[in-house]
Amino acid sequence: MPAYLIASPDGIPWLTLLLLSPLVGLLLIGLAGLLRLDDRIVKQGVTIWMLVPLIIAGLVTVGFRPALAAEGQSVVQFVEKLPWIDALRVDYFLGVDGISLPLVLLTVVMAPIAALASFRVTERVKAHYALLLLLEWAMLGYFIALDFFFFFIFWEFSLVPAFFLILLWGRSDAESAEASGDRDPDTPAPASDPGDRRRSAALTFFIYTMAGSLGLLLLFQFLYLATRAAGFPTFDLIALGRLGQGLGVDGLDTPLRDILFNYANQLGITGVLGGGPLLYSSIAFWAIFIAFAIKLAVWPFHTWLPAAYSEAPTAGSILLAAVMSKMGAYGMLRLLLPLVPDAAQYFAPVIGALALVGIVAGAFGALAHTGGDIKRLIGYTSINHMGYVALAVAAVAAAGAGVPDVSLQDSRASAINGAVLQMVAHGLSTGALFLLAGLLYQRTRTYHLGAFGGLRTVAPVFANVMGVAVFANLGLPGMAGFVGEFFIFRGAWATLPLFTLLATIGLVVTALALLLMYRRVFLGPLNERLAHTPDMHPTEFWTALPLLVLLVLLGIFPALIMGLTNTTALQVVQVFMQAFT
Amino acid sequence: MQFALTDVPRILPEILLLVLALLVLGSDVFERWANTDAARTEQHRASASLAALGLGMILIIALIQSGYVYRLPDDAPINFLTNIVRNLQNGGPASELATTPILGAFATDDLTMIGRLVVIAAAFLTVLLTYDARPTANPGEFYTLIIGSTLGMCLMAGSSELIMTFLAIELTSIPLYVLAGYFRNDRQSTEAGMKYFLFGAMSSGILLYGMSLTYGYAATAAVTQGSTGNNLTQFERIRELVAQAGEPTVLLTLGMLFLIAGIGYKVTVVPFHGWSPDVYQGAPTPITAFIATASKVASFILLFRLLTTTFPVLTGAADVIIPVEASTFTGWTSLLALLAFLTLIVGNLAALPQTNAKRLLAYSSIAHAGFLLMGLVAWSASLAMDREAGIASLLYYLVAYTVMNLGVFGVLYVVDQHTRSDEISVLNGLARRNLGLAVLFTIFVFSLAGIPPLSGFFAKFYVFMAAWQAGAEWLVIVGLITTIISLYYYLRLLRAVFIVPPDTDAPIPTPRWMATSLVLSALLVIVLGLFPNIILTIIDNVQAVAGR
Repeated sequence: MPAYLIASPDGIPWLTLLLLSPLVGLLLIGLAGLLRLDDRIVKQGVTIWMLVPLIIAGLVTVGFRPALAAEGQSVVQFVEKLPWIDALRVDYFLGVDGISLPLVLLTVVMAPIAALASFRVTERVKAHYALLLLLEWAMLGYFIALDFFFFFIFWEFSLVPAFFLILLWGRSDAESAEASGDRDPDTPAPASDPGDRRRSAALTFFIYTMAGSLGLLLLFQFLYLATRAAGFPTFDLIALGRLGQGLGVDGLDTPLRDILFNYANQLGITGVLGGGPLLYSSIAFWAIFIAFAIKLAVWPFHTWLPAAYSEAPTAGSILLAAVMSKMGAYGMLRLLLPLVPDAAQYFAPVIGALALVGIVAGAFGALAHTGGDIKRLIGYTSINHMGYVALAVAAVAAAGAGVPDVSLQDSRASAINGAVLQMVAHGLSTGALFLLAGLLYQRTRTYHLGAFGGLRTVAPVFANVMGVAVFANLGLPGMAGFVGEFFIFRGAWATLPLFTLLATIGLVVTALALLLMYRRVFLGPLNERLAHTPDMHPTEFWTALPLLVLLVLLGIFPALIMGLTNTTALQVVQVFMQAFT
Repeated sequence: MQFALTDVPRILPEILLLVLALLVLGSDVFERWANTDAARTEQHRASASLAALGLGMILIIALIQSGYVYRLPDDAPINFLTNIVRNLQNGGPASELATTPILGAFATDDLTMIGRLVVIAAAFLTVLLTYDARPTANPGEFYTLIIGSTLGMCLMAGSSELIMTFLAIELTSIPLYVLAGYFRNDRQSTEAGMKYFLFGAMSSGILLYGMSLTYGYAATAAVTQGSTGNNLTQFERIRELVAQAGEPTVLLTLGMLFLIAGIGYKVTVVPFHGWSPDVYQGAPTPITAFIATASKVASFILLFRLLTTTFPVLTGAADVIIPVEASTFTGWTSLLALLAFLTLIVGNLAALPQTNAKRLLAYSSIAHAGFLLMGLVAWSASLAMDREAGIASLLYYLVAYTVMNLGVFGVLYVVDQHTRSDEISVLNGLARRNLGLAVLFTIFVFSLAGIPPLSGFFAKFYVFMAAWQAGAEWLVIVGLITTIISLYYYLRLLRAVFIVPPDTDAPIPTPRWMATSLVLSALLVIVLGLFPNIILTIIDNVQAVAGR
């Protein structure tokens, strides 16, 4: 193996074990079904079993050496590489680096939380927990797979469990109508539930993402053929990334943009479309960008998100918002920046502008729901927060005004560091908010913000926990969200000052929306209907506590994540130290 | 060229199929059965188990003969056991004998072997599916016809001569006509049988016409070149004559067009697909599954062999979207690309409004024929490597297509046995009535829709790669868009299964052997999807044959 790939130090295939552990959990559920065990045991068993991936990921983190870099890139570690499909040169290729490891950690932390949040599920419990495990499997696989074939399989497959979670355990139509204020909560719900809303949400989500990834699939088939024409057929994401950055692999030193252009030339496409290499990198850029922008919900590709987040069951919302949306951002960092740096630099202002619109529109969208559906409001704040990540991506790629120098490298790297931390922080805080919204619903049977009021007097612990989550989400200093946003702004300032300046509007408005939400639920006069709302149970408190602890911990000591990311960030931005024109 | 004794093991699977067909028929006819329900069940099971055991054994023998799982090393000791294996494998595709077709009419190469294996396996799974079914009248006939048609399909897969081709197609089709109309008292089934027969007869006529034109060309060319012989119907010979004559004439092109149209009926390519929705809907469900899978596999292999060995001169290029002028029509790949385009569009769009599950799947199967054609279109590539990818992707797709369709029709059959209907609405709430069956159904439907990591995904992925390499980028894009469209109707099936509440919560039982057949198919769908290398290494053998 080349110097930039190193295997697991002790020879144990930790990443394969990590990937297999949710599947073993699936077998255990099957066993429980055969033995006709009680649903309660299944719930507890799966939750405990989800600690196994957590422990494995923890061991991987301990063994991970964050400072290693070789041959112009950070070292990908715990690599496992086996030939899989000879005919297409597909390898079973797993590995982690500074960008994927934090997201793996986020996944394994959020999965048990989602399992805990599903304890109230009564229908088809085994299927629900099986889908949670499958979703965890797909997301983990996505973050550690380094061959396009497997990467794409996990990317698409993750839709399946998410689709069924929304479809089968999502909100009933009556609940949705009530949440948006279309139905009075006191009237009895109709007996039949056609489930139109959740069905359309699930279907939109599924087809939207699937349609978006078509370009990606086509592009990689094209890249395979292009690299084949150059004598090195590959689906290897690391190799393609190195070619894109002009680092060379196995003696092939032609940059990817030239490989792409030569192949287009050979096919005669250049005769029709004309143009130089930049045109073809740009096509590639948009194919990748649209696929991931849909998942990340960058404006204007965000329209599926509010419905999907709000119609999903609590566990579904937690995993969708906390982890699945990060799949888009991860894809941008893993593919978009290394593969087509020239087009990324060229279009950076466009991404920046889209991100900016998303930030502001998401914030105002949230503000518009302060009298409506609490889950939609949280959904809109997610659009806002993911906008910062997209802004960071744009800032990394942007050419910047000044002469490239070391300080710009620092800025770009801090944008990536900030983006990764923001992803983790947002995952934790939004996960906590959706969890708490679910708990709130169990108590009050409503998601409608107009139907609350004064809950702090009857449920003080709940109010405090929710308060911490809200403040973490809106980026109060001392919490992880602040550090992420701070680093993104610090980094983006250097290359995209205007956008950064305008993006601060989003900060203020989201904060306003979240605080208004908090006020409507917990402050003001007590709503009589809710006078007997119970406070938090110890189990619920202990479910939410790890998230809050992590949020504070990362807020005070962000190096826990940034230490992992920094080397990779510094290496990824190297390629942008030159101006492509 | 003489038929030698050493040729007998080369057609051993076919001989065994014939023997089995006679055995099944005889064991039923020469037995007296009481006229009670118990006796009828007994009678049905006797025939079904004999047919299933026989097909299973033939499958195993064919597998040993193929040498794909285990190849006897040359220096193996000589004893009773190794001699059996050695003799079997001497008739297999790896032996030297396999390089020339028997009497120039029946090739026993890897392509044939793979076709045989798939077809026999499909017949085996179909028979397994019917074991627990409500007994039918004259089960002996029923299974004899299935086995006879399987024999025809094996011959189709290996046929390398025009008359052999015609006989094989008829041997396949005539039993299928009878099977499609097997429920004599059911109006839809009789109608299906009748329609299938009429359309089939017409397509045979077209096929024969194409053959006579081709033969006419070959005979004329032979006379002008001064060569004689009675081998003018052999694919190889026609190719040589065309090559010697230089330019192909209009006559030959016309012959080829009729041949494509004739076989196009069998593989339900638009515009020759009209019969299939009615037949698929009306025929007994296991027969629908069998027609949709095995007969298509055999027809596609035949089409591939016919076109690539006989008409390499007329290959053409696939990058032409619509032949605007006569001069831009360059050969059969352009024609097939155009047909694939039509098939993808019509198949997928027509499936959208269907309310009958079997009819919907019929259109889905038409749409899949479009994807399969893309594998053939890849033959227009200039590099041999790319052409090989084309046949490899076609064969992988055929295998994946066979198992997932057998599975999905199988689930419908189980539900049909219980509810006596195959509207989509009978699937309502299947998840509540039988969760295991619903999960199997989901696996098959997702595979049909091309969701990773199931084999349907890799099949599409590979076929798109092959078509893209061949320069049919526009077709790949059409394929991708129609894939998204197809999601809509596939998800509609799943919606019925998981969302729509059922009329009754009564559980739907899955009899043991039906479940076995379905679980086998589902395992194949998953394993082939996750480890495509298993089957691709086998398919690799074909490339050497196809590259000639």
